[in-house]
Amino acid sequence: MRHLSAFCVSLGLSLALSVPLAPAMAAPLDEALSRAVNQHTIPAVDRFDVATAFLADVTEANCLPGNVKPAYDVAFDAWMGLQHLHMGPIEKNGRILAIAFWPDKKGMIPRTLSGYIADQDPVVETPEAFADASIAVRGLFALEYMLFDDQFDGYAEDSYSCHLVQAITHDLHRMAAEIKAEWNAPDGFAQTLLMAGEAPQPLYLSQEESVQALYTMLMASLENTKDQRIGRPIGTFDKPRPERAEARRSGRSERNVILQLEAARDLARNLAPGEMPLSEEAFAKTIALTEALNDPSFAGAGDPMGRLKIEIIGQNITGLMGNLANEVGAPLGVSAGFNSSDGD
Amino acid sequence: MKRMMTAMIAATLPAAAFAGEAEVVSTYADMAHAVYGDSLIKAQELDAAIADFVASPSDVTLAAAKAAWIEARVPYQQSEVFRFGNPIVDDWEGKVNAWPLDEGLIDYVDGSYGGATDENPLAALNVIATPSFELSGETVDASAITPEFLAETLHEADEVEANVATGYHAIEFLLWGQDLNGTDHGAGARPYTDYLTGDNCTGGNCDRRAEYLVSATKLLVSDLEYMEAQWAEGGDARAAVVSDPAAGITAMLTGMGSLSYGEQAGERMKLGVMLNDPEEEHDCFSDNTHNSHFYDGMGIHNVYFGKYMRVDGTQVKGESLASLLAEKDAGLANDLGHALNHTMVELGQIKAAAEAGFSYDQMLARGNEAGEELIMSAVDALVAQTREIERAVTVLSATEIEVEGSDSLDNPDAVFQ
Repeated sequence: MRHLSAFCVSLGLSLALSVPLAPAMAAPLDEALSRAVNQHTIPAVDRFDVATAFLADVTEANCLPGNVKPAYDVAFDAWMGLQHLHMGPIEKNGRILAIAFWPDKKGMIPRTLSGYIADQDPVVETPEAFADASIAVRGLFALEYMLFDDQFDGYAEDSYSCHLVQAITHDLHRMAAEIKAEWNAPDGFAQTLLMAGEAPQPLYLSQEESVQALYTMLMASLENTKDQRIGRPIGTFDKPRPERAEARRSGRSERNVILQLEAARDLARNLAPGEMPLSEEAFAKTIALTEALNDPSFAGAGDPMGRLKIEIIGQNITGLMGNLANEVGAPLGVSAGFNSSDGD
Repeated sequence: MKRMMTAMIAATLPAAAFAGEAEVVSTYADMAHAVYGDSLIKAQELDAAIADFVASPSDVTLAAAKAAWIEARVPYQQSEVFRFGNPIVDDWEGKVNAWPLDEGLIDYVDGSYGGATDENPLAALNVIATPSFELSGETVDASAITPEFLAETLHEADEVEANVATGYHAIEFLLWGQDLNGTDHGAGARPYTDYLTGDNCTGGNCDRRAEYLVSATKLLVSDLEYMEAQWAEGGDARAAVVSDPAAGITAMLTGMGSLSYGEQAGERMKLGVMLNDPEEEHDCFSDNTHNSHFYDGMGIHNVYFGKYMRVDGTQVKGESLASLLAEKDAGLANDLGHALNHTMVELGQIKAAAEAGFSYDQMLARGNEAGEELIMSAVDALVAQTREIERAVTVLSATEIEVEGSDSLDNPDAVFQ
């Protein structure tokens, strides 16, 4: 943390010196940007690095599911604080897909894992080789199969599967550490956002564009939770699909929705130039509704009442997004841009 | 290449006259009408080639049908930019271009394909061999494989998206068969004997396979007739953009941005590289993916520069988004034009490599650095052009930012609210 605040101070200075600010809109934009980057993104990047380091260490010592599961939850929790930032180092090299490949519509993960295990594929032997492996055997969702699925979780210490699990956790930490380094470096992505057109590695032409990018992440993440985390398990009334819930094997479906909403709330609070009472109320209500489900893997989507309760959370997210547009987007003068979920 | 150079020159010339929104959306609607019209013409040619093929199956008639399919993809892929942003198109396109598909629904597959999955109980149905089957506890009569049966019963059966029974990719599978070469060179190699009648029939049920192929193609033709009419004078899709030019401009930019980023760069290109999965090839049976990507990019280019070259070589052109944007921000108009041109070069390199024998599925192989570089360079170019498109949105719809309740992706305007 000490290192972090020193970083913030130097950043603030260089910004003040180098960026001429237009008087009217610049102050709220500048403050929103600085809060969102320093108080939201940097801590999220750090937490994911620490949590995956812990996961890799625990797994190195003992790779068996009973030992690894608690650390898995810690790492996934940290990811839920970061996964909405589809930008810069998190998006680079397809890391976001390598860390969390979901939904796996064609069942690639179990199929590919089975293939690697049957072939004793030597790809697990070096981190460099594993970094090139199919994303179907990497990241949190491949690890979930290994730790929580009957088809995979019966492995012994020092078995191929054990080494595979260790390779997955090391690979996760490798990516987390790279993200952290690339985010926090003096010419890193935090600077790219903060300094915009004046950044050492510019991507956004103005602070307004940086803020718009972060606002797009906020809105896209909520839309994604509604369409995917909620939408996939509820399917249609006639055809609910509880087996499509995210991270259902580890019983994290409900928890992931809550953590995602909390991450979005934190980003929104940092971006908002003033109070956001309606958004606060909507966040509180939506989170409370989700907690009240008491349905960790969304198995309840299979019956009409349970399904309705989950569907209502999605409807609340829609309302919440309207409030955010009014209380965060409009006062900042930004609207959401394109996001990676556009398309099919 | 000549076309692209011309477009670049055109983009850098000062706009001759003021390009108003109304003229720009009118050009857009004209291009849509032409591109769906061309898709229809080529589908009719495909229909004729398939009629010849099933009447007298041979290597020659099969090759002619395949060639007609490849040609038919050229205009259709250029139409994809009209999909996002125009609900009439987006609601319809799943009938003609749904992908990826569980092809075991349709016909025989290799043993390595596996059987029914959690996601899709019908993944290995093989309807061609199955005149009657159970679906959600009810018996389905598949004794006649008519266009209606394909469209209304089999397509997306059991509400599973991967049950693609209609459109280009179903036809592609029936012509080429599964590509069993993995990430090695080579496309599907279905023998023409799969369509022979009598004892020489291979793969079983050749008559039903032919019936399926003919019905699917007739359906493609009628679906394209519908969409062509939507963009003709008096059509609803045309009316939606020309009656409200500002909304039309939004639709244009939405289509360009959504296709560039979420769809093409993400879903279709990056995911395949990351999975090393040849089934993540867009045109996986025919190994025509390089063209599929190239002409998607070309469609985006067309919409921006207000110019589409028809399949007969004539041009549809008019006031362009490029000139409209140049009126407001010449630098940005130039940057966006350059970004689109750069993408075409990157996509062109994939196409060139594939046509020289380094096929798209080889590019997806694990550890194939040249392939990864080719594909990821195009992905990066598409992502970069998306940023310029977002800037164009900001400039062209500065007064139109509305703050209402947000909508789901079903509402194409959602990204701009």
